[in-house]
Amino acid sequence: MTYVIVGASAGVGRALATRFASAGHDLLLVASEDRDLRATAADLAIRHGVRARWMAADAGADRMCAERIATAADELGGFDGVLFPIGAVAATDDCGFDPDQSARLVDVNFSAVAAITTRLLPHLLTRPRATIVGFGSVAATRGRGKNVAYSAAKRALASFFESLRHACAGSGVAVQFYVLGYMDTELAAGVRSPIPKGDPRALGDLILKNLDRDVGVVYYPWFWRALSVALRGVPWSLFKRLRF
Amino acid sequence: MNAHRVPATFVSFDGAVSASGVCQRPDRYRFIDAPDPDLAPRIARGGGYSYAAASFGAGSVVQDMRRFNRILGFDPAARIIEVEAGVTLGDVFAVASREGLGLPVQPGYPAITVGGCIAANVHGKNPVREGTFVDSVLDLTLFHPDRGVLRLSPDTMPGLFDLTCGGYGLTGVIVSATLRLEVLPGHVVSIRRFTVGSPGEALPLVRELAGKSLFAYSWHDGAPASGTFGRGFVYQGCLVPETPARPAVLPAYRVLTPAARARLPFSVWGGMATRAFTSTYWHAERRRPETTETSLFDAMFPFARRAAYFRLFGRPGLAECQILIAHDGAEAFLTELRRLILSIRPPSVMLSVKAFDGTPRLLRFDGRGVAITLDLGRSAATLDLLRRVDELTIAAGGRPHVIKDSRLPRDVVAACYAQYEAFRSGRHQFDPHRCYRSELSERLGL
Repeated sequence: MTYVIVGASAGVGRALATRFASAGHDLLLVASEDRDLRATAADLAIRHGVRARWMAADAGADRMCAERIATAADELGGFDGVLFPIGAVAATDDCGFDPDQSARLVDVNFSAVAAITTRLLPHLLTRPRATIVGFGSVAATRGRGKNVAYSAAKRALASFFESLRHACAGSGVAVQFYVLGYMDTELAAGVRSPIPKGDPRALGDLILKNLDRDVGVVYYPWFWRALSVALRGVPWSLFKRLRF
Repeated sequence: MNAHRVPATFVSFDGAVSASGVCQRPDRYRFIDAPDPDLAPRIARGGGYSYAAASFGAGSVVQDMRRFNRILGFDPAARIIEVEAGVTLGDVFAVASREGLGLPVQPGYPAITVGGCIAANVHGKNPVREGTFVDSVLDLTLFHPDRGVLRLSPDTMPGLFDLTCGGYGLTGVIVSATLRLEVLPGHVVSIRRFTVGSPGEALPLVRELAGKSLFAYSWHDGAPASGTFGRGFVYQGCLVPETPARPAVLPAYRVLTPAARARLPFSVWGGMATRAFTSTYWHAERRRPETTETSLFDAMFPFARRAAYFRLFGRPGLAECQILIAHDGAEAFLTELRRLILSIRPPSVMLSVKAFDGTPRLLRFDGRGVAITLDLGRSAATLDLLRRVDELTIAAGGRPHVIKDSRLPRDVVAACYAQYEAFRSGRHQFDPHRCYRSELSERLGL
């Protein structure tokens, strides 16, 4: 099987690429940093004997990105799924509302994923079985004064994947949406929290196990589902006083 | 943008030196070579298996390189492999052994990183046959904030290559390296055991076997009891030829970290416990057949599945001293070492001997002679013994291994390494701001 991973150069994306390659899947790796992609693709091909191609593209800025991915994936002889561990955050994504920064965060976290999915979906619908995997964040559980544009984009993405799942029901395409808590990656390295961070490799195992299954929305680590429900239940009079 | 800095506590593998500081775990190239406006000193860290505090300290930002662990190229026909610095010896073993190849120099634990091997210029089980790690390095990529990304080899910028291989990370961050592999015509090692009464008795045997074996080293009872001290065995390992190369799945082992090593609140070693253990081991070995076979993995990485040995030193920690002594002075050195151990009676556990046949250079642990290694529990008597061993080493013209002894004083290193000053001045010339610092560099005045 062949999978496209968008956002594969580091963190969760690289962990997924490693896990999928170790299971024998060929890969097309897409990310903005060509040095890391080249290194990761070489490593996966050498260690696991799979075909690992790479394509450097800034999905949030390159309007032709979806088209280029489709062309590159076709050159692999088709593909059986696409995963989107792509994301961007900004330390200044607060209520300063820098319009350029907000637009960039929405582009990377939502618009690019929606555009690429839309472009690749017709091909996936021709496969007997296929999987599309999106990634949300527990940061989008409730709007806060931090990660403003990021959370908004992730909520839009959750809605998009809900619609996509509904549209693909009855087809061979499984649409899955993983809501991630703090992960043990560079992205969350500065986060100091008593809540344990998730292991990207274990997430890779879970996604691999769930391939082609209609699992819908999955929280990882699992306890974030309960924490998210609890957070949604906090009354506004109390929530507005919380600083996190 | 640079990698996040997070608070962290570090401890040397021997448990003797610890420090709190900040750590970066870069996972992409721009985190390594992007301009960093902060001029804080820094130091790279691999697996953290140095007995000495070479990868933290001195208020330095620690750059943990374990996420730079990709294999960049592998050419079995040319017998070369290109790896990032955080790739472990176990990773290289898993890939190279599938093609009947392996690194010539393999320290005994698979989670040690290639970057660490280069920075400490480590040796393996048979330096006579294989040299030290620098002999396997064809080229390397180094980053220094004032100098940028540099590609070094014995032919390109050889002076800086020399300073970096065995330079304890003080010339910059080793990002990647191309390494020479050798043919390993089999994956089974035959180990022959010779019983000896003392380390002195082991010397000629180790010298003789080293040149014609995969490895040859000795183990000796180190418990300070006059009747049994020094008895032991010489082990000769030879590859069993024509065992077919097979896909190597790295055998499972639990990675031992410096913090996990020190989890036990006390040390088991010392007094009766050591004597009971060494005696049991000695008798058990004698009951085994003289020749046994083991897998290449277990032969190359004997501590992968015997990590309990280190755990039993507990929180008080361990001490290891490794001295390279010229052949003609080795026997006298061993005699005096025995006298010191039996008079001071430290919690010593074991002693080992292996032969060397290299050329001393800068601060590298290399030369012609024998390396004598002593493992001890950490105590006041141990530190007293090690001070006496320092004097003995200087008098014998020996060379202590800088990476193995976390308390080694500057004056001892300066007295034992003829090129101490050359290393120091070369390093200062390349990096006048001393961007890279560690507890080791400050202690040794580098």
